Amino acid sequence: MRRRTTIPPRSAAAAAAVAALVGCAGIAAAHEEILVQIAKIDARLAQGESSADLYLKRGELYRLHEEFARAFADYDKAESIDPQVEGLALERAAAFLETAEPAKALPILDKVLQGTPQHAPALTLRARGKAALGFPAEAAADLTKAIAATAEPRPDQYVERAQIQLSLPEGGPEAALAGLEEGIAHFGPAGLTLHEFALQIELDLGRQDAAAARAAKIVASQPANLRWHLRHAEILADLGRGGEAKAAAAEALERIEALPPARRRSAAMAEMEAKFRGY
Amino acid sequence: MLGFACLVAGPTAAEAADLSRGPYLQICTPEQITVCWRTAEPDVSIVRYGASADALDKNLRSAELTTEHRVTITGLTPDTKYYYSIGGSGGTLAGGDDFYFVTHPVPGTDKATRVWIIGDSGTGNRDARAVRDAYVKENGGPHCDVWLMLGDNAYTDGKDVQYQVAVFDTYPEILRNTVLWPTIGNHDGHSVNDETMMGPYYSIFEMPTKGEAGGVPSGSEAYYSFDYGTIHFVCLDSEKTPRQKSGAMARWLKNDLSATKQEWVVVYFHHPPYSKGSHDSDNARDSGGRLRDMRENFVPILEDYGVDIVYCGHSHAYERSKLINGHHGLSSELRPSHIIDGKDGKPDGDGPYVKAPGPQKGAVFTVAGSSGKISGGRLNHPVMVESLNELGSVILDVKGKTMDARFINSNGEIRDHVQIKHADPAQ
Repeated sequence: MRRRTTIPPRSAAAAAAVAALVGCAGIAAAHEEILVQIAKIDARLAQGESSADLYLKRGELYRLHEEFARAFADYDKAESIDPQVEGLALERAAAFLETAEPAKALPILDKVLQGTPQHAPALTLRARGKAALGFPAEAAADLTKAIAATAEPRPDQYVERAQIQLSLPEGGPEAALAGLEEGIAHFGPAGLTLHEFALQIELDLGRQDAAAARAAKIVASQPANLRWHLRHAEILADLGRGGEAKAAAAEALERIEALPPARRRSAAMAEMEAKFRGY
Repeated sequence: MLGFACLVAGPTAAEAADLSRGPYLQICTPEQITVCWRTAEPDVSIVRYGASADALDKNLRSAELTTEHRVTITGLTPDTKYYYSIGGSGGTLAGGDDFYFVTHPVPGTDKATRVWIIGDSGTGNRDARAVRDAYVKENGGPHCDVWLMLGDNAYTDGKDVQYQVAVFDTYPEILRNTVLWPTIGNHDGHSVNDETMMGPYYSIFEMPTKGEAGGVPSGSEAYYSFDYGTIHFVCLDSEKTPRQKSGAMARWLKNDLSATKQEWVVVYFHHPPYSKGSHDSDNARDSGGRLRDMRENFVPILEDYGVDIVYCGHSHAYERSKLINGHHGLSSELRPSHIIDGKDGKPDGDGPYVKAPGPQKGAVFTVAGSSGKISGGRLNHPVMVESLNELGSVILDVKGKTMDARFINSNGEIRDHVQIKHADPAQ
């Protein structure tokens, strides 16, 4: 866990030195770009420019650079100039989450959400904070709201929620599966990633038949996807349905043999081919 | 209202005043393409198209009043050149001999293919224009089959107004006849919300999420794939999307690569797994660990599925590797076994890299982030054959079982040429 420490502010001369240093060709300083941006803001501040936005921007850069004490100092400065500066609350909450202090992030996010209940980024951050504090049900509920508030939800949002739901004390896998199915219905064929997670949950629950049915459905809808042919054959074999596994493998082998040599000879494809031939 | 036929030479000044962006082309497939443009005032959208600029005998019209026009033309013939014009209620806004598109060939068609690749191009300044002009001169004109943009497309924050300068005002002659396939960089990411993935990058560009241009549907505009001829292109998001091995993007990538039947696979994203330019891939904190994450979590997948070449930006230099495989650690941990072919890969040097019969191993990794500025660095990563602190871009040509990638600098000099060949099984 990272702790805030007191660090003296950079001097203008030091800022200029950093700028000069990282600007030199041949000296590829680590994370140069962030330092350059910080140095540019330092220079503007040194010239007398002062605004909440500038301090907030520099605070964000310090956060990205994992200089959290400086980041928090800049957030405080920004707030002292303009308590209403846009983005401050989320930025500060994000920093608390990154310093493993979720309890400090939650009240900030609660306040944001009191004003804007459907604020998807705030809901997502609060969900992560709640998950970190051991409240998966509340976290999942926030992610559900975040998904609903997102104009074009993405597969990873559903995956994140499912992963949190799996840690629910009761009914976690069921809730995760239901949430993934909701995403699958939303994405249609693009829900393949969610099918992967759902299939793994079904296997973990010992529901091999459901997993086999899911894999068969994917193979039928996306026959070129050889990974799913393999999953299908593996599950069928585990279920003792050797004949069906062999038939599934034979179909996959036909497809592999039709691939251009460059694709067929890739390590992954060669490994799959060997497995299919083993059935 | 002016007739379309009389506007072959281009829009009048009065009409052009209403056109504030574009046209530009997005999501091309063998049968469809999307034509985009912006007008200063809300208007209807009209696209006319046909076999020649003076015979635009088909048209599509959307009655919706908008400033952000998106017209998707369907039912097209594969690998066919169509001319088009755009217009609104006041008549034609733009059209003429250089307003055309060519639909993609049917996947698997062995067609000589040219790709233009630019990275960190978003300065909109003299350097970016010099790189552009060198390409156009070398290419013999603005059009190519596929155009990749490797991120940091609009400095410094990927704002809409910055996109106007760095993309739309810098490349108008190319945008009107060449489909642009972008990836997001960290600077573009400044204006994209982490959680909603909304912002100028996503509102300006249209990316395939449903597998409509080939490949497995991703469900996300952040990462996607498409086919052109015998090439499968994969775009990853190294900036905003979670980069874990078990994450949604990694799983999609495995599915996508296991489903492609294409001879060649080209992958592109912003943060390079190997670089000693203005960013250092050995530094785990560089760019929030993105370079390390891509190397450790994604390069193994790319290698497993026989990807041929990888393009990134971020470091503002040109760095091109040997044919390597399995190097997922620090540069100090590079072992001879990671180098599949340690020669230079140049057809006029040591000779091309040949991906031999037997297990397919090895990919070439390229940083092409000097299309808008150069920023130096130590430029001494040991996997690299070439490390150049020069402005430039890459022209990639594919025909049959041969791929040629040339780095052309802003003076028009070819400063690197790597060739990869797929050997026949009988060889």
